[in-house]
Formats: sequence, structure tokens, C-alpha cells
Amino acid sequence: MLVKRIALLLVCFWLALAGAHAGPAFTATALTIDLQGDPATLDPAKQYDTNSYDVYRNIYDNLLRRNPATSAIEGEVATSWKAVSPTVWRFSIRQGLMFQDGTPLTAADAAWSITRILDRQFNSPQYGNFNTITSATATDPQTLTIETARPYPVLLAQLVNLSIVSAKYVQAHDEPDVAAHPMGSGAYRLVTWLRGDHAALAANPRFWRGRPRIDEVTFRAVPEDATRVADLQSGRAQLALGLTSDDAATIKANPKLQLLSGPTERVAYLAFNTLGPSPLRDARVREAVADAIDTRALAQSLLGGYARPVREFLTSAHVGYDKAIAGYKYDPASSKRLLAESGHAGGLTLVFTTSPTYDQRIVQALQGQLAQVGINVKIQSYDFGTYLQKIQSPQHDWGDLRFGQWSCACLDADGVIYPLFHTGSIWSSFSDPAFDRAVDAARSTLDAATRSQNYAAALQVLQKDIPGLPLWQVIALYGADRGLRWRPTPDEQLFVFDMTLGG
Amino acid sequence: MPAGCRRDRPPRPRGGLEDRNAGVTRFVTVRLLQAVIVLWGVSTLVFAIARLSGDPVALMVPQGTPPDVMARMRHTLGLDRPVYEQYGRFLLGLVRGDLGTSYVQDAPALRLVLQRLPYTAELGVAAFGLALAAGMPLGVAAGIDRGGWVDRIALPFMLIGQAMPSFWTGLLLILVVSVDWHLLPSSGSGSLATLILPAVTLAWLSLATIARMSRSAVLEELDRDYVRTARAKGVAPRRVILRHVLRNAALPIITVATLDIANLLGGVVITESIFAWPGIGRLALEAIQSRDYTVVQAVVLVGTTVFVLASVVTDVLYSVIDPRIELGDTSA
Amino acid sequence: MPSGTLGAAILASALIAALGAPYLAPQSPFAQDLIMRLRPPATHAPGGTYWLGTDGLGRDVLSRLVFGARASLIVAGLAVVFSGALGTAVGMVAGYYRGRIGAVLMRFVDTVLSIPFLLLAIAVVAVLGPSLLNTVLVLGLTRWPRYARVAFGQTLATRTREFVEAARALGSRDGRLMRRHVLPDVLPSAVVVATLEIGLMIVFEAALSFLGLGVQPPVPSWGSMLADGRNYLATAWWLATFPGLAIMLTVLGANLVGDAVRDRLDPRVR
Repeated sequence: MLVKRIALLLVCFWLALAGAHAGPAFTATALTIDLQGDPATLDPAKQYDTNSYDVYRNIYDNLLRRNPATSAIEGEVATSWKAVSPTVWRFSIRQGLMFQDGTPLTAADAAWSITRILDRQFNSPQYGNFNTITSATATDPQTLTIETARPYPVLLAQLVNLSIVSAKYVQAHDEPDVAAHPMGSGAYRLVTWLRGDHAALAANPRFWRGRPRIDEVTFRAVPEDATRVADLQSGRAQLALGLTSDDAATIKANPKLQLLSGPTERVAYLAFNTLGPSPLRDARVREAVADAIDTRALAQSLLGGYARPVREFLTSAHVGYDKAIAGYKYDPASSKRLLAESGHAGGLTLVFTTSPTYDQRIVQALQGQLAQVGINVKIQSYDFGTYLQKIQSPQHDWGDLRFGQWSCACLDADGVIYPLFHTGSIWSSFSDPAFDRAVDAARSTLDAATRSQNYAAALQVLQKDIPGLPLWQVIALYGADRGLRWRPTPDEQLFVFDMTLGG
Repeated sequence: MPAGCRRDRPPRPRGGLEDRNAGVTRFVTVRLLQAVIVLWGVSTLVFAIARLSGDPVALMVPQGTPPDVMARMRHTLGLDRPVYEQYGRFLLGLVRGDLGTSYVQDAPALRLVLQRLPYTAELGVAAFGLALAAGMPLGVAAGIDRGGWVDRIALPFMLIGQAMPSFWTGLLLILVVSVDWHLLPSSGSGSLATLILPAVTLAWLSLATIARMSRSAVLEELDRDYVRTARAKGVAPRRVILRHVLRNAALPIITVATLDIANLLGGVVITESIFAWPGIGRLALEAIQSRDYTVVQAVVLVGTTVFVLASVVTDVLYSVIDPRIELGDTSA
Repeated sequence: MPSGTLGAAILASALIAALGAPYLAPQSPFAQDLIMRLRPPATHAPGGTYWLGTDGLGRDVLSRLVFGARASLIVAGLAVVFSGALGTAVGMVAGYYRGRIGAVLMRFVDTVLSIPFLLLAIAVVAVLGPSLLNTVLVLGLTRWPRYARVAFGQTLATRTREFVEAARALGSRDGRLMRRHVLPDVLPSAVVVATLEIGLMIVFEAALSFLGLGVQPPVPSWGSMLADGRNYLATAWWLATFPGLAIMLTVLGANLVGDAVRDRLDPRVR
């Protein structure tokens, strides 16, 4: 009797299961994108994380943009610009732009967008990107004038990331309201935002570049990589971010899906502790480590070819890139010789400080390669907050080597090698006066030739002293429905306006 | 018992309902006061642990940000104040019901937690309900039919669930049920269909405990005198068991339920991450990883409040169901 | 075969694997070969056969599985001993003295029970650094309240028994009483909880590895192997399946032993 009851229960349960149907409402103009996490806030000035940016980039327009193919800086809200003096810039604001509530977008809004970031009380995480700006004013409704404290060559690159908010709207609403109910001039407007779950956007028919071809886009927060892949396979999402090279095979094997990939400006690197109590203070040991790493093998075998070995900390798209830099060859014999010369013939132990945020396969693969030349690497992993605390400590007692992936979202050497290696920078465990002079000079002039020369000199110092080993340029992988037409851009901006979703 | 031979415990209230109610009220009041102390203790512990564990500003800013900018940000957030001052402010806020603003999400911390609490509650209730609906009949059947196929085969099979880490079961379910069979959505929330897989994953953990509990409860009952008497009289033991067993099993099951709530916040974190479920488990994980102290404190406080209240309710229920148990004698 | 014996046999096998790892494993668990990564079971290579396949860095899964028994069992065993001893002690003291001490202690137990396991884990790892021993510490610190509750209840029941009261009236010291009369009653329940907890500890170790907080790479543990293999369930299925099965069987074994122990020690259940 009891057994029968249980059986009946199970049958009912099964029927209920079978009856519930899966599948999203899929029309040709609705797109679901799986992000790696939830937006922190949709106020463009209040955060600095990719998940937020991916969403609000579609709601707001930025002052400038990069050409998807060449990465050259072009106008978006601004149509043209000129540096009328080394510290004064003038931007012409496009005519006829409107916010989604119908009010016109003028230079005053652009000025306000910058001014609010510079307000220390506002506490914008982006302050550090714009703090060379002393003032931003609308000299007339279509002209924005920006003054900087010193000649700031990276200004344009930083303005590529500046979203324009409506001064009136922001001043009329309090901060949490602006964060939760963004109002921009972009291709999409926010319909609903269920924190932790999804943000739904709808097309703005009056967008100045024309009506978006995709009517609705939903950004979902899916932290687990395997689940994002499953979402693609089950049709719950048509685009998924943050896939690994091992997922590539799964995507490519599925006839309904396609793998999209694009080189980014992120450079993977190893950094050495040259200032602290570490065997890596000795330049020969550093060179031994550099010679022991077979970057090509790592890029090919471990990352499936989705990584481009580099010879310096910059990609060819970066301002300041010098193609004359030699880089390092894989030479384990030389490595062993250098170790013997520096007194470590009997073996050497190094502490590799890292965090689960970084791909631990890469960390372990590096450990494996160093083991081949007799360097015993001990991995110490901390959660990311603790990791940052450790490596940024001025005592330089964080260990011996660390792995990282650097991007300044600015495609400029000033955003890469300056923070990584300038004396006193919290990221730097290296100090060289010649290097400091070169990068300081390069960031105080707008003259491209001077900058080039100085960066060439700076990169030569890095090549000789090896405070770190540049590994490869990261290639971002996306999984998508076969009907999605989109080319990923090097700045990794998810601009839905540029996408189409066919049958 | 002969007069004069006193036992070492307070006399049981002899009166009727009135006396009983007075006892319950007193008990509840005492427990609630103790609950406040527990809450204070937990929030202080969390406050200390959070601040020991690192700096939220470093995690919020772009990679090239200079230290003086970060220092200034810390100052604006009040994070460079002496610890006792921050603690004082925190306590004052607690009393007023203001748990601060999230550093990361720029919204009141308490509101963020309360917005997502219903999702975890929904998942938890569904999971517990499932575990009960599947575990109890199974355990009872195994106990009655001791040594039979249910006891030997079906029960251990179900117990496997507790032997598998939930991220494994969850991902397997997604792969099989969603990707291969296309029966249910692979992630997210919003409909009953999306609730099923995460609830099953979470339920499978509690299933074993409930099944086991029911089985031992049944086995205990079967040994009792009244069952033997009933058998001797010819009454169908099944009816007897069902009526009495269920009443006696209710007690341990209620205990399991309260213990489960604490377990729940732990196990739910992984389930919510796997299924992209927007509950407070995931919120807690993300807040901890980004050192968003205010949100971490808010989640812990809300979770503790729920747990402690549930504890009190359990204890009262305990005594109501079994009048032999005195309030204040239970371990919870 | 009675289930308790089966369980014991399974546990014994796991122990043998852990103890005899250097002799049983065909290769080093750390030897990487990037060319041979993600090969299926029974792949032949010049160095030998990869019976259970290779992982994402080309390491032999079988060797890592055998060595992984060490980390998993050590963590589970030590955590259970630590939390069991601490919790039983606290519970006994609370139950013996009752009154205010008992109430305070049990409220403390409630407090600790309410702290999210995760927060404590990250805090310990943040302050003390990640390591196998700190994993044990984390697990121990979060689980001891379970033993405390059981010990408390059991002690309450025992303490009011006549012989205890009599002994107390006769002047026996509390410590001695607790050791000689209360402990033997409390211990069986504690042991039952402990055997069931062993399984849980193994599963929790996997959960900590999932969050990146458990045993550090490249040291293998079943939990970290399972966590690392979770992205490959449909492709390189062997990465997760074998450590998962190892966990499952060992936990089942421990639970079977626990059930048998409970059946034996609890005189009411025949």
C-alpha cells in the first residue's frame, strides 16, 4: 500500500517534470547575453567593472569611440577635437542628439559628466583615470573645453570610456535612483533590472545612428562557466562571454553554435619581485626564469592557439609599441647555466603568489616548465582581495613571482608600463631611474615622436632588466548562436547596436 | 513518588492552559532577549572578520589607480577612521535599522538583501518540501520493511545524493535534463520550471538526513510496547504506526529543519552560483569577494535573524507537540 | 555482507590508497605533459598507459586519484577529530553545569552556527593563508556546534540520573564525574555524529575547492580534482567522474559504518 503510494508520487513528479517546457520566447529580434556577473550599478561614473560597463554602454553614448576595425579613435558624441594648447582641448559636440526622455544632449551634459567624476565627495572609482583634468566646461552649447593640469597625451583614450549623462536628470534624482534608473542617449533604454538575475533593455527608436536591428536585449548574470555553455546549448542565451579555450571544442562541435574570437588589448605577463627579499633580485636569476618559459608551447597546447605570444608588454595596437624589442627565446640550457652562475646550481625555490581569479592551469603550467630547469615553484593562492593587499604592500614581501593580465582600456603604454614598473607604483616591485625618467617624459608631452622615443628607451630597460616577462596577448572567446552576426572588438565592448540576429 | 523526595528540577506547571500559556510567553521573551544577544555577537564577529580580511577600495578601482586616489576614496567611505569609531557607527546604525550603503552597488545594503531574500526563501522552502516529500515516505517504508528492497537498495540509492558535492549534481542535472533532454531551463529564475533543478539539487542534500531520521523514528516505534500490544490484539500495525510514528517523528524532523536553515545558507551559495539563481547566497559570496562589508554584514544579520527566530519557533513547537518536554530543557 | 562491513571495507580501501600512494601510483601526480592533455582513459604513451586518462595539464588521473586520497582523508579525519573533541567538550560542560553557564555556552553555540561557513572560510584563509591545515581549521571551527548540541542533550539526560546525583552528593569531583560517568554515555552519540561527519567533510572539502579556498594546487585532492573537472563534464568526463566516484564511495562507506555503529550502540534500535 505504502509502496503503491510512493510509486504514484514518483509518477506524478515525473509527469510534472515532463510537462514543464523549457525554452525562452525566441523571436528574431530578441537577444539574451550571458555575462559573468551582475552589474554593480548602472551609473557610468560609479563603478569600474566589466559587467556594469557591458550593460550601460548600450544605454549611454560615450564622448569618443574606437573604430571596430582599426581601433583608431573616432568621434561619437564629439565630432571633432583639437588641442589648442598642450593643456587645453576643444571638442565639438554633435548636433541633434537627444536623451531618451526627449531632452537635447549638449556640451553642458558632457561637461557635467566629467565634473561629477572629479568631485571627490562623489567617490568615483574612475577618478584616477580623469584626475589630470582640472576643468571641463561648455563654452557654448556645442563646444566642450577641457583643461588639464599638465599635457596629458592619454586624454583621448580615457575619454573613449566616458559616458555622457543628462545633467538635468542626474541633478533632479538622487544617486541610488540614477544608478537603478539610468537615462542616456544610447541605442537602448532600460526596461527592468532585477539585481542578480537580469537586466532587460529595449531599443531606442530615436537613436541618432538609426533604429537598432535587435529590439530587445537581456543581459543575464551567470557566474559559472559550465552553465554559460549549457545556456548556449539549450538555447537560453544566444551569446555568452568569458569562455575558455577548452570550451571552444564544445562550441565548435555544435552545429547550432559558433565560436567568435578576437584579440584584445590584454597582455598576460609574469612579474618578478626585484625589490623584496627574493632570489629574483639577481638579474641573472630573472633571465633564467625568462629563458625557461616556452611561451609558444603554452599558447599552442594549453590555450589551444587562442593566445598570441608577445615580445613586450604591449600589443601592436598600443601607442608606444616598439617592434624592435627582441623579447626572449625559450632556452632551457641557458636557463640552467644562468642558475649555476648565480649560485643556484643545486636548485632554487620560488614562491608564486596568485589568486583563483587567474587561470590556475596557466599558473601550474608555468610551475611545470620552471621545474624542468630545476626551479621548484611553490604556489600560494589567496582570494583576490587578500592577493591585492599582499602584492601592493610597500614592503615588497609578497613572494617572488606573480601572474597577471593587464589592460588599461586605453591602448597606450602610459596605462600599462607606468603603473606596472614605475618606482613607487603600488603594482611595481621594480625601480630604475632611467625607466622612470623615460616614462615620465613620455606622459608629459602631446608630441607623438617624443613619446615614441621615450617609450622605446623605457622598453629597452625592461628588456634588459627583466622585471617581468611578457607572455601573450589574450584572445577573447565568445560562444554564440549561429544566427548572430558580430565581430568582437579589441576593446571588448559589447555594443549590441553592431549585432544582428538572423534566423 | 514519596513526598519529601524532591528531584533536582523545578516543578512542572500543574495548571491548565493558562499556566501553560504564561510559561510559553515567559520562555519566548527570554529566548528573544537571548536572540538579541546572539545577533549582537554575530554582527560583531562579522564586523571584525570583514575588516580583518581586506580593503574594498582596491577591488573597485581600475588597475592603474595611484595610491593617493585610493586613500582619498577610503577616506570618503569612512574606512580610515579608527576601528572603534567605525564600530560605534555600525552599532548606532543597527539600532536605527540602517545597515549602511553597499560600496559596490551604491544602494542601501539592507534593501539589497531584502530584495533577494525571497528567492533564497523560495528555493529553500521548495528544496525542503521536496526533501520531505521524497525522504519521509522513503525512510518510513525502509523502516517498516526493514531489510527489504527499499531498505537495502532504494534508500542507499537516494543517500548517494549526500555523498555528491552539490556543484557536481547541479551541473550533471543541467547537462542531462536541460541540454540533452531539453526539458527545463538551464539557469536563471522567473518561472516554476526554473525552480525545479536547483530545488532538486539542494533537496538531495537534505534528503538523506530526513530519510534516515524517518527510518530510525519508525524503527523506534516498532519496538514500543503499544505496537506489540496492538499486534497481539490483531490491529493492523500499519495504521498504528502511521498515526503514532508520524507524531513522534515530527519532533526530530523539526530539529532537522532548523539545523537545515543554517546548512541552507551554506549549501545554497553553490547552488545559486551554478544555476545563476538571484538569491542572497550568491549575494553573500560576491559581497565577500569584493569586500563589500556592509552587504556582508547585512546578509549575516538577516540570515541570523531568520535562523534564531526559527530556533525559537522550533522550541515552542517542540514543547507543544510533546508536553513531556519542558521549555528550557531543550538544547536549542 | 552486512552493510557495516561493506562500509568498513570501502574505507579501508581508501586508506590503503592513501597510505600506499607512492607505490600504487604508476606515475608522479605532478608530471605535466602539455602535448598529452585531456586524453581519454586507456590512452597509451611511451611512458606507460594512462588508465584513467590525463587532465588539463597532461597529468595522469589515476596517479592523482591515488595521491588525492591523502589530502581528502587527512582533511576529513583531522577536521572530525578537531571539531568532535571541541564540540563534545563544550556540550558536556554546558549540559553538566546547566543553568547560566549552560545557557551562555549554548547561545554561543547558536552564534557560531549562524555564521556563514563561507565567510569564516575566506576570513581564515585571508588572515592565515591557504594550506591543508588551515582547511582543517576552517572545517573544524564550523562543525563543532553539531557535536556540542548532541553532547549537551545527552549530558542533560545522563546528569540527572540517580547515580550521578548520588556520586555528586558523596563529593565526587565534577571533572572525574564527567569523565567516568557522563562521557561513556555521550561518546556513542558523538561517534555516530562523527562517522556521518566524515562524509560531509570530504564533500565540504570539494566545496572549498570549488571556491578556490581548499587544498592548494598542484597538490591533488579529490575535491579539487572534481572542482577542476566541472567544466568538462560533457567533454573530458573522466576528469570529474573518477574523483567524484571516489568521493561518493568513500562517503557512502563512512555513512554505512556510521549507521552500523549507531545500530550497535543504540540499545533501543535492534
